[in-house]
Amino acid sequence: MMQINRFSFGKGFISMVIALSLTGCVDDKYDLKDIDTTSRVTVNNLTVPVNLESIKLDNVIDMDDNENIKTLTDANGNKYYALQEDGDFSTSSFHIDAISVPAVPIAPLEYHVGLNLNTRSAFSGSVSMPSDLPMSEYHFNLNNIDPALISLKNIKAQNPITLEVKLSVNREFVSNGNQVTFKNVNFRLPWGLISDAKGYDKATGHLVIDELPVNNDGTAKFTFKATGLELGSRGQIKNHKLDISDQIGLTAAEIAFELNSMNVPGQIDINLDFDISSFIVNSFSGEIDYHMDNIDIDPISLSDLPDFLNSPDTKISIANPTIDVDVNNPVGGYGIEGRGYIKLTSDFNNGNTTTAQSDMFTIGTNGADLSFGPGATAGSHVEFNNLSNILLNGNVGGLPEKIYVNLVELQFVGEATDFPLGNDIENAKGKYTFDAPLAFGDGSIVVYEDTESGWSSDDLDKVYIEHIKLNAKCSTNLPVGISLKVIPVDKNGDQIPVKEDSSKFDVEPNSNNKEVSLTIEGANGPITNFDGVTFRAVITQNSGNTEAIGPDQYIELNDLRIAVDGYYETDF
Amino acid sequence: MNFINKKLLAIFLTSASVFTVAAQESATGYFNDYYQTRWQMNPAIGNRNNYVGFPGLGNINIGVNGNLNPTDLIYSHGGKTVLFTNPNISAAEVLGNLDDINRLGESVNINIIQFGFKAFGGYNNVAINVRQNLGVDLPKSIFSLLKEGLSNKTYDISNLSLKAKAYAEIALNHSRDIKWVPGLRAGVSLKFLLPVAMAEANFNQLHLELAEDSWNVRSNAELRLGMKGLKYETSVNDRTGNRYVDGVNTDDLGFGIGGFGFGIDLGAVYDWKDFSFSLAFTDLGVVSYSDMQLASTNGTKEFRTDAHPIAIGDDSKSWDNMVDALSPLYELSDMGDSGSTSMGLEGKFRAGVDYRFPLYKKLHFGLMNTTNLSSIFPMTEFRLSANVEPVKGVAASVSAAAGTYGCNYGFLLSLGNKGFNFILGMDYANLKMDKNHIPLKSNVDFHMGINFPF
Repeated sequence: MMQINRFSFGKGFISMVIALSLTGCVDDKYDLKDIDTTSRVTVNNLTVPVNLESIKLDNVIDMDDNENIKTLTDANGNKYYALQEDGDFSTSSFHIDAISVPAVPIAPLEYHVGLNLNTRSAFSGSVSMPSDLPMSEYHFNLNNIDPALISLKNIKAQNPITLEVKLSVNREFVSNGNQVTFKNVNFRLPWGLISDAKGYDKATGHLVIDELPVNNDGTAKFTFKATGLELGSRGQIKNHKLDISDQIGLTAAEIAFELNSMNVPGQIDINLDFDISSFIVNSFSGEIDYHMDNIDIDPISLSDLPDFLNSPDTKISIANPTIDVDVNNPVGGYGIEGRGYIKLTSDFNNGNTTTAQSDMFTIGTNGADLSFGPGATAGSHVEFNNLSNILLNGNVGGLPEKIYVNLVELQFVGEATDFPLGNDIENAKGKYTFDAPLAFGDGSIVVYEDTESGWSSDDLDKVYIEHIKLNAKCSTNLPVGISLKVIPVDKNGDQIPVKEDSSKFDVEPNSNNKEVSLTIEGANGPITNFDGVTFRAVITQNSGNTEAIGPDQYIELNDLRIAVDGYYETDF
Repeated sequence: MNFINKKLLAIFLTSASVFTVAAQESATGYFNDYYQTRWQMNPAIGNRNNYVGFPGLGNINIGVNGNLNPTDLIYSHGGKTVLFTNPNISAAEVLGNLDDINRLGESVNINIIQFGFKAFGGYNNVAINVRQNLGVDLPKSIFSLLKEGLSNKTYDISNLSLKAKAYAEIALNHSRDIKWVPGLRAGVSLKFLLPVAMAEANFNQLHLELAEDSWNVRSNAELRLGMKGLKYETSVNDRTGNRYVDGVNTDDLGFGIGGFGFGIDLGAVYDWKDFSFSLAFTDLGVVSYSDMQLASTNGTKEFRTDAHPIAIGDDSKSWDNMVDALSPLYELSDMGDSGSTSMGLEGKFRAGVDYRFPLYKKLHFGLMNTTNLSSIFPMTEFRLSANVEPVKGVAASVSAAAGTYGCNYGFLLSLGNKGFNFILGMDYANLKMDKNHIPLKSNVDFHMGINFPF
C-alpha cells in the first residue's frame, strides 16, 4: 500500500483551499463599472383597441363665446350651425323743403265804356261791358322745388292765398248822389284756387259776383281767399320749377247807374287792379320720388369665427343664406311706398372684395317683412343673386374679415296725399338678420388645421415610431365629405416627413361602416423627437347635399384599432 | 427613466453577488470536525471541546442565492458590458438563460451568543441567533415583456412575489451516543423563536390580456406586514374617493415580540468502519407573527378597455373615468389587522456519508444532500467534499456541489484548535468575476466564526 506523505498532502490541500479562497475566474469581457445601459423596449405591431363614442360635431366645434357662429333650431326642431348676424338700421329723417311762392305782380287793366246821357236830366239804367275785354297775365312761379317732387296736383298754403281785386271808376259817377253798381260781374281769376268763395269755378277760374257796388271813393273792392291750389295735370315740375300762368281780368259785367246829376263824362273809365299775396306751400299732393342716402349698416365682423373656419384655404359657398329685413314705412300714411336694394360687400384681407346685390325690394305703405336669398322662406321673398358666394374670395380662399351691408338706391315713390313740406318726418327704421346655415354649396372647401403639440418629454424623446396604423369602420350622417390627414410634428414645430400617400383617409358623406385606414410612417426612418401632431381636415361638398351641418351630426369610428410598431430606447 | 443611473445599477448587481453567501450554515464544513456550529446542520454532531463563541462573531452566515444571476441581466457585446435590454442582445438568448420562475434570495444568520460544553452524558450547545430571509420571485413573463416587447399577447405575471421574515432564535442542543446501538449518536435541538418582522407581497394574479378588440387586466394582490406597532398610512384618491395604502406608519414601531415560534432539529450519526452516516431534519416548526397588517385589492379586480368608450370633446372626462377604473388594480385597501400568520420555518433535510481515507486518516471525504423545504427557497443539492487536518489546529475542506443552483464548489478553512478558532468559508466559491473582481453569479455565500475552544 502506498504511503502518503501526510505533511506534503496536507500542505498542498491547504494551499489549494487558500488559492480557492483568494482567486476566482475573472472574465475580462465583463466590466460592471462601465455598463452600457442602452436599453430598448419594443412594441411589436401592438394593436391598441380604442373604443370611441360617436364623435358629434358639438364635441369638436367649440362654439363657446363665439359671436359669429350660432346654434339655431329649425322648424322641425333640428339644430344647425349658422353664421348669423343681426342688427338695426334707420334712415335719416324725411324732409322736403316748403315752397315759397312770391307775390304775383299783375298789370292793371283799364276799360272805357261810352255813355250817351246828354238828353237826360237824370238817368237810371245800365250798360253792359263790351265783350273781348283785355286781360292781364299772372304767373305763379314755384322755384327751387325739391327734386323729390315730380308733380304737384294739389298744394296747400301755410297762409291763405289772398287775391285782392279793385275796380275803380271816374269820381264823377259817384259824386252828387250818383251811384254805380257792377252787376253780374264775371272775373277771370287764376284757376285751381281752393276756395269756398261763392261763384268761383276753380276749373276755369271764373268768379261771378252778382252785384258789386262802387263806393263813394269810386272803387269797388273785394278779397278772394284760397287755401291752396289745385293743379291737376298741369302741376308737372320741370327743372325744379313750376310756372303756373294764365290770364286774369274781367270778362263781363253790367254797370248799373243811378245818376242824379248828369254832369258826368261821356264815358266811364274803369280800372281793374289785382294783388295776389305771396304764400308758402306746406303740403302737397302729387308725385314724389324721394331718394335716401345710402344706408351703411354696421359691417359684419367675422373676426370671431371658430377655428375650423379660419383657415386661409377655406372656401365657402353658402347653400341657403337668407337676409330677413323688417322695416317700417313712415311715409306710408301719405300713400308712398319705398324700394331699394341690399348690397353686401365682403372685404378680404388681401384687398379683394366680393359684392352681391339683391333684386329690388319694395316697402309697402305698411312697411315690409322681406326675405332675401335662396333659403328665404318667410316674408316677401326677394331674389338675391350671388348671395351664396359672398364668402368666396375668388380662387384664393379664406373668409372675409368683414361684410359690409348697405341699403342702396333706397327711394320712396308714389302719389302722395297731403304730404307735408318743410317739416321732418320720422325716419324709416328696421332690423335685419343675416342667416347663413353652414350648409355648403358644391365646391365648398373648409380646411381645418390644428396642431396639438407640447407632448415632448424626456421619455417621449426616446420613443421611435416605425409606424402607426389606424383602421376603423366609419359611419357618419354628415352631408359633406371629410379628408383627414395626420402629420407628426417635432420639437421645433416642424412637420416630420411621412409617406404621404397613406397618412390620410377620406370619408364620404353619409357613409355607413366604411372601412378607413391611415398609416403614419416616417419617410426618413423611425419617427422620433415627437412633440405632437398636426390634424388637417378638409371638408368638401361635391355631393349636392346642401343640408346644414349641426351639433348633433356625428362621425362614428367603430372597431377602431391603432397598431403601433416602434421602440423605446434609453440610456439609463 | 433616469431614476436608475449606472452607479445604482452597479451597486445592485454588486450587492446581489458579493454581499451574501449561500446557505445559513456552511455545507462544506459539514464534515469538518473543527467547524463548531455543525450542530445547527445536524444536532447529533457534537464537538471535541467545549467552546465559547465571540459575541456577535461566533457564527456569521450570509448568503445570496437564486437562479437569477447577474450574467442573466448583463451581457458582453462588442467589447462592452451591456444590459439584457440592449437591442443587440437577442430575446432568444436572454429568455433562454432564464427559468420560468426566477428567484433571488438572501439570508442572514448571525449568532449573538453561543457556547458548547460536555455535560448530561453528551454534548450541549446553547445559542442565540438572529435569522432573516428574503426571497423574490420574478416570473419569466416580466422579462419576456421587456425583451420581446409589447404585442397582442396574454401576459401572466402571476407568481410575482416577495417574502421576508426575521426572527430571533434561542437554541438548546443536546446530543449523545446511543449506548444500545454502538456507533449511533443522536441529537436534538429545541428552538424558541421570537418573531421580529415579516413581510409578504404577492401578486396572486396579474393577468394582462392585450387582445386586439380589448385590453383586459385582472389583478389580485396583497401585502402583509407584521411588525410590532407598524400600521399602514392611507390617502384618499381625490377622484374615486377610494382610500388606499400609500405608506407605512412607523411612529409607534416597537421592538417588542410580535408572536412566537417553535422549532426542533433532529439528527443522527452512525459510524460504521470508515464510514459515518448522518441524517438530520432541521428547522422543523412554525413561527407565528401576530398583528399582521393586511393590504389588498380586496379580491380580484378586473379592467376592460371595451367597457370604457372614449368620448371626444368631453374635457377628458371619459379618459379620466377610464384612469379611475384602473386604480383599483393597483390601489391596495387597508384591510386592517388580519390577526396572526403562521409560517413554517425554512426546514432542511440533510443526509450525509463520510468516508475516512484509510491510507491517510487525516483525510476524509463526504457526500451530502441538502434539501431545503423552504417555501421561500426550495432547493436541493448534492455536495462532495474532501476534508483534511494535516497538522493539529489547521483543517480545511473543499467541496463541489450540483443542484438547483447549478454546479459550484466551496471551501472552509479552520485555523486554531484550543484557545482560539477561526473559521472562514464559502459554499459557492465558484466566483466568476468581472475585470473589477465583482462576482457575476448570484449564488454566493460567506461564513465566518471566531470561537474559543477549551
